Amino acid sequence: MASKKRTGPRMTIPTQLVLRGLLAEPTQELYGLQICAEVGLPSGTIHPILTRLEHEYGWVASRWEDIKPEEEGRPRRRYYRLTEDGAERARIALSKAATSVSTIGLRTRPAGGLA
Amino acid sequence: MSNTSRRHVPAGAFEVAYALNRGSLRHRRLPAPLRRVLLVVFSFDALLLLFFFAGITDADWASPLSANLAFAVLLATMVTMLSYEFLAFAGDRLRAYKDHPRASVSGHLDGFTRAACGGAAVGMACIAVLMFMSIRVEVLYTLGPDGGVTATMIGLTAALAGFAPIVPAVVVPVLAFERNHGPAQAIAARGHRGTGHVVLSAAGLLVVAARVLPAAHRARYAEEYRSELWDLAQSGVGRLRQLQYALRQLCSAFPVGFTLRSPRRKSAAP
Repeated sequence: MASKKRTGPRMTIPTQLVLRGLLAEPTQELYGLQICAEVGLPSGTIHPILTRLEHEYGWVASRWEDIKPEEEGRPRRRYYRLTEDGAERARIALSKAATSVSTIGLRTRPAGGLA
Repeated sequence: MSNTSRRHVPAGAFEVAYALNRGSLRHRRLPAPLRRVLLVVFSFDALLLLFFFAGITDADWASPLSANLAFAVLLATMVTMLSYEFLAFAGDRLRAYKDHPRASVSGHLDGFTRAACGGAAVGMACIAVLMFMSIRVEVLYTLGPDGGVTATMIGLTAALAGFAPIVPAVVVPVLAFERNHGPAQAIAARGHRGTGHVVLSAAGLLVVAARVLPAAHRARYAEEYRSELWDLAQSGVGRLRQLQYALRQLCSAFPVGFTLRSPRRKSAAP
């Protein structure tokens, strides 16, 4: 049986929601709990998606918050954002998604560049 | 491409750093030589208990391989372990209060912690009384009726040794509070153990979740999980929600680990 090579992440509804959340303001960096709040997904759902987008496809970049935990009295957050290339690919992938978030009526913040 | 930090930080180092920074005494420990004293005291206690239970099981010291002596060893080990665990539990409850820089132990412990400390004290007192009675009788039997004073003194010494483990487990944490005395309203207003605290069991689950991941990525995700749990705790999320968060991360750690182990497909286009 010929295997169909996947060229992008599987566009599940949670993946679409995460991408739309990040595309809402592509230049803004969000940390995990912010993304959860933004897209309305539970915390355990977004990390596998973000990891896949970052490590497998390179659509997302992450960095540590630039603080000294010892001085701030709290641990550093990990911030995520779409790369330029990733944002472009995400827009295309979302527009091609067979089952779109918008068609099933889930309410999200409007994603940049998408109706 | 992310600029992921490759710096490996010992697990828990940040918790210690920022807990100390905000004035917590939770991570303050006795000096190492004094901590070893606890081990010596418990070993001595175990021997005294063995002597006590050997009397109850009628063990014959002349034949050390007897079933009676083995049973006495089992009982002594059980009681020692149980008392150690109980004291450790009481000490852990008390240390939770040391997170509050202005905490005072007097009048602000929750009922469960009071019960744990009281139970530990009563339990060790019972052991001490049993030690006293047992050792005194044994010494009297050896020295005869004239050795009453000596038997009492030796019995009291044994009782003191039996009660001694309560000191490092309970009394020292209490003294640590009182050294830090100040207005206790802060802790009272926050409802004893209070909100804003990371639930230890949730933090433990997150450590397990990080262990599921490939070694090269553990430090990063462990720190990220801790950071999110800390944020949740600071936003006033309670114990159950924190546990729920940790359980979700534990479940999601398996697909995350699978992704991290799989080859990169960065050049893939949608």
